[in-house]
Amino acid sequence: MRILRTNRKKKRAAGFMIPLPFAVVMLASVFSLGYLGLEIRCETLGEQLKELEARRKEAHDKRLYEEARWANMKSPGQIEKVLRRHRLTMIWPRQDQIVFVGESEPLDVAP
Amino acid sequence: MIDKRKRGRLLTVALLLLVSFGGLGYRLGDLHLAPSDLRRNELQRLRCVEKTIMVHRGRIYDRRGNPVALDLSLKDLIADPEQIRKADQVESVSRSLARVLEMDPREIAERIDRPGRRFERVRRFMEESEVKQVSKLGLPGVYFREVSARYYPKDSLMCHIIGFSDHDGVGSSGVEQTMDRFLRGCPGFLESRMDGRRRELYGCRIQDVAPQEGADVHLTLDQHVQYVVEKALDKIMEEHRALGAWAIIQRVRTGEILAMASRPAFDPNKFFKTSETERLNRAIGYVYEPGSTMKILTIAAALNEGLVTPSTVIDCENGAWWHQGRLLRDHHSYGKLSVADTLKKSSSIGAAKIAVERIGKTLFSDYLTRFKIGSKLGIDLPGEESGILHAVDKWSGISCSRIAIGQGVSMTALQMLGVLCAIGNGGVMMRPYVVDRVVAKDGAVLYESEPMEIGRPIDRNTAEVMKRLLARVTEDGGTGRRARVDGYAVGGKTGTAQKPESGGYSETDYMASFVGFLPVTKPEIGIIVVVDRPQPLHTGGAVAAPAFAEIADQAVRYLGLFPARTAQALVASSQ
Repeated sequence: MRILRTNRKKKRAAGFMIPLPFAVVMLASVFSLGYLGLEIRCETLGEQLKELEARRKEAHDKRLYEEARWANMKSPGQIEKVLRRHRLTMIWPRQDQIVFVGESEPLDVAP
Repeated sequence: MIDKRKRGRLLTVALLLLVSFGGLGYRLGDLHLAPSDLRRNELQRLRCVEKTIMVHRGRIYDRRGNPVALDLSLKDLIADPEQIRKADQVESVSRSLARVLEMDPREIAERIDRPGRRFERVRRFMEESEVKQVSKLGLPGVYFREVSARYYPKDSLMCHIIGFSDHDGVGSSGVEQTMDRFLRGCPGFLESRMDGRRRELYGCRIQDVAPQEGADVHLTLDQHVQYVVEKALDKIMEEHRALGAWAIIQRVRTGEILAMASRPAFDPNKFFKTSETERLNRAIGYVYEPGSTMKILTIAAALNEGLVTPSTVIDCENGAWWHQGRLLRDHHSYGKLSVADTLKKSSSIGAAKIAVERIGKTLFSDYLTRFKIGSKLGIDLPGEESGILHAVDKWSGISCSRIAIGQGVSMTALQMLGVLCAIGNGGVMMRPYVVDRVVAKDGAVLYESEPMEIGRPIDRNTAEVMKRLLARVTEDGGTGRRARVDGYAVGGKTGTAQKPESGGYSETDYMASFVGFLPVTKPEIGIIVVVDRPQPLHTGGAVAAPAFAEIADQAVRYLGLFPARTAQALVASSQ
């Protein structure tokens, strides 16, 4: 009788076999992590936006304050005080003190 | 083989873990997937935040774009008395705050040592430096609340025109009141959710309505011209120890008010500390007997009807005239005067006779109505008075003679100036106004004033004649010599009226006034100055006329009203 040898060179199947449940769980995890990442990114952006909003408001308030200060400094009474402090006297010119350059030029004597 | 005991332990641990995670899983599912309505509502209530977003009131500018009223974002200092008491920090908090705010620590302690109270405003409108100092202290139960505060950077300049808005942001006086519906704006609204640390989540905003800021109001007044007027009035108040003084500058051809000032005045930043007397805008809200300035109207009426000419001679009875059983005196004894000289020398008898013997009471009453005496002129400010003019059927036997010289009738300075400006404008009376336009933040013009004719009391020819007659008042021999302005012909009239008291007239208290326009050839601006009870000098020529000259002299230079370039200059200066 002839004894046949067992072929021990088993052909290995090509590719990588992943069990289905494991694959599902992996996929779900990837999506979940992706979603979580986006969620965190949105929150971070939201916080940055809020911070920028707050900074814009602060800048706006500061601008209001400076405009108010400037308006106060420019008031005629304050200007007069400064002129007095520096011992200056200023009056608006009379007609005979003004030289008109060009007849067609409109007057612009006021600030 | 695993030991039976070890297997038992393993099973116990697995069971415990299963129960724990199972329980947690159930709780998670219960909270997130199927909470009861009650719980859901409670959760939503805790996480929800609803906030009204503060809005700034619109600004007010003068004609050159200088802001005269604007809102600032400031902070109120708030204390939580309950929290401070629980922390047993009343004394230390009071001392710390008192040091920074320069207040009495006992006063602060009294305000924050209140059981059950959760809110106490310690200080309004804190400055930035004070906020930083208090923040650094890190005091328990002390925080800031952001508020919008109205600020008037020019202090008391134009105070009666601008008015003020109260702490609730409601316009309560002046332009702040009449233009409140434009200035007010619309607050925004934010509805959102908070996280566990009570921070608002940007991504969970449900509603985010931006605030709509109020529109800006642009006035016709000029801050520099206004300042000139106010300085002149302050000088009058000091030099003549007057009870009050007021003045108006108006553009003759359009009715725009370039300046309007009244003394006493107030600081609108401290409106809560002012009295009614200070807040009264006497230029439009105080009626007085105009005295001799009324003669302008009397003579204009007679000329317009052709009843007299400038050279018509009137017998001034040598200074004493008995009429209807009552004696009327002149300040000087004049014999016969022409109509032109009646005005120049301000003869009361001359003017009274023109009214009584030439015009007659019915026609004279008609002219008073045409000149809007006893009626409001419709200025866009609150508090305008119409004056007092009785119906002609209620006049007594001497009313006509007395009204002709400015007694027995009351009017405002604005009305008197309106009479003069009508003459300067060829007989056309214009509505006075202080608001030029209202502009929204996006640039849309919501409201714009246009010059508006409100009457033609006299014709152009009469107006031309009156201008020449009024110019003579400031010549030598006229009562208004001190109203002259170098280089300009000024037309106007003085007024010196006894103040009424207890059924008669005071011998010591007078209203002194001067009303005029310049240049006479083509009047551009009309100015009136009224002084209440000046002492010791009391005549219009001595008190009001010099102030008129001082104001006019600076105003014409600033506005560029040079006789050769009058119209062109005023157009350029308004741009």
